[in-house]
Amino acid sequence: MMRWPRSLQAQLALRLTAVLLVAAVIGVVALFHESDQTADTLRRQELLQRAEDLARRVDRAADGTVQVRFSAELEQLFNAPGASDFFVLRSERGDILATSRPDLAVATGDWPSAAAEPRYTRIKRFGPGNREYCALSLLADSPAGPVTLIVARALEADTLAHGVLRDFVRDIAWAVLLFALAILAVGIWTIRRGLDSLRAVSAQAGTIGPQTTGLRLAADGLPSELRPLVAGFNQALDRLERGLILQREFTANAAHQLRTPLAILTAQLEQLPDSPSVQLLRGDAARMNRLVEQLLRVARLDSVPPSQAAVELNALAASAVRGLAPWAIGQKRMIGLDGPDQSVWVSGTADAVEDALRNLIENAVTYSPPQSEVTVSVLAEGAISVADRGPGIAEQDRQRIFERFWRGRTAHGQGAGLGLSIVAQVAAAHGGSIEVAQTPGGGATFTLRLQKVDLDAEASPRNWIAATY
Amino acid sequence: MRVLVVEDEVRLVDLLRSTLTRAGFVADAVTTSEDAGEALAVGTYDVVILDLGLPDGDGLDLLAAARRSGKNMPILVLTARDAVEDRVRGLDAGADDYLVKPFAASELVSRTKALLRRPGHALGATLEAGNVLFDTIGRDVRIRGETLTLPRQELSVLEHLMRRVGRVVPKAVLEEKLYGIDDELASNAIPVHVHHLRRKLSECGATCAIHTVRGIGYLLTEEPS
Repeated sequence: MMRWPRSLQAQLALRLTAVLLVAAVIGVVALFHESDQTADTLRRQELLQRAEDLARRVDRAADGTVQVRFSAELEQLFNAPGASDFFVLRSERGDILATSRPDLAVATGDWPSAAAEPRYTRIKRFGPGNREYCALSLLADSPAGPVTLIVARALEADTLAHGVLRDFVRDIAWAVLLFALAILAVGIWTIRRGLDSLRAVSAQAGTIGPQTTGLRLAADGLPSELRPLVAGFNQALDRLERGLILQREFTANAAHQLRTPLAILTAQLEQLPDSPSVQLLRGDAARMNRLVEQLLRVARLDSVPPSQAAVELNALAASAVRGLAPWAIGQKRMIGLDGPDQSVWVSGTADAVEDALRNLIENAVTYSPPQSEVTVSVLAEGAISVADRGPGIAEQDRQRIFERFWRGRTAHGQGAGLGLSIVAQVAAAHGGSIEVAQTPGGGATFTLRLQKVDLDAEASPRNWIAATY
Repeated sequence: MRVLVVEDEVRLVDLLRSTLTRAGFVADAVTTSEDAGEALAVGTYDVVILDLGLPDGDGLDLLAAARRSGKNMPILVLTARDAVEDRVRGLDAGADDYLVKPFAASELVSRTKALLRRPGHALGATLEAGNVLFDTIGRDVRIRGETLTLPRQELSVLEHLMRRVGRVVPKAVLEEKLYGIDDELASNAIPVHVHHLRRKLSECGATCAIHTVRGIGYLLTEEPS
């Protein structure tokens, strides 16, 4: 079955064409019927004249037989070979007195007979070849007494209706076609005009994103049928924007509510004199800080999908490494950054990508042995890798480590299992990927791949360091 | 050194005051924007620690007002919001640095000191890291009371590392500072100077160390003695 075309233009074209075809067919049928009726009336008059003419020519011969005195015209009409007309003359009792076609005359006995008025009938499937006939029977007084005269004509010979039809097809059909085309053109033009404004609105809708929730569609110039849709869409946007604002406020409030008591707790623990239990408590508080931090990052990522701005990876990696280097060095680990000389632009939100990278670096520093270097590399194809010299990730765990709250069997109780899921979420939201492999010589290498954009940015060999200082 | 703490959370205020006092500061604390305005108008402070979430107004307004009235002491902003736009707004309004809650008290002290180490501020004249003292006016370095003689290039590198103790100073920034001294700079000039500095510092028993952050720059940390 053919699928119904979804385009309004196609639907309108199809339906208008169908309507026109049906109208044309109805017109043709009506015209045919009408011309058939006209032809019938003409035939009836013609046959009546003929019958009356014949009736006047009925005579009784000297031997008492009834005969018809043919004129040359009647002779030609009835007795020529292949004549389509014939007549039957019957007595009052039904006996055949005279006929031009003895082979057909007998069978006309059950044809409806005339009463006071002449009677015109059409008889279907009569005689050899089952032809259609029209017949007129007439009662007449003749020198031979009252007689019934039947004059019949085979219909195929009558071409009036067909001729009219042919003329119609020749003279009118092209006009119907022209009308059809004109109607289609007007319909399509109207729809196009109407849809132009719809396309403009669609383009507007395309610019609405999480960063531009204040935009609304303009209903100016739209056909009235589309206004309710645009109004409904705008109302839906209003509700979504309110929801988004509420969610952002919630995130910000939650941040404030959680962070201030944590700051107090942390500061207070720092003031207590060192003892094994205080150190344990400090570790717990640090874990709590990190967990709250990560939960907030997850909440932010969930509520605000990243915009697709361009981010320069060299600058972003430098900023993340600079931020974490003092901590890493405090943990007795080294950290280094490698990158290509030219800029590497990817599409994404700097905040989210830097969050992801920080998580990778924090993990790498946590799991690598003291004095080893965590190497952050910006790759020219639009990716960042973080390599450590730690125990590495077992083959069977390489998928599951990116699930939320997943913690390896060897987890030594520092993480909540959110860090890598944040990275995976950032990667997914940016149409990128995160993968883990073995560092040559031992350890894990995480590679965050993003979508590269080609900006015609001039190569700026490491000038960004000064720019971000 | 006098520090003004503007923070509405009373328990946090107490902790900040005791931390700062132990670090050698004289700390005044106010809990509202209005009180902070008055304190700034009357007193002279070397540094201000300002929480952005105050009960009677946005800390950013207070910050902007202080800058408008010609206060140029370093202002360190505390915030529970860490969205980029919040940070940018804070820095635009005239903050010198920001710390996102929760933070370690030691971090607050080192950031505050770093701000004061900037040229023209309270600690800008004599820099201190571990047992190393750097007199930026007399251009002389003392370790455990003994003068360490250094060439101008190494003095410049050490000065900029000491002004930013505990934070990474990009190599490009150190190079920029050297252009004024050397007309031509070899590509390995900074690593060579750092190498010499490390050797000289350790020979003199300095309790600070220069770490390399490969691909970025250098970091001076105070080592426990």
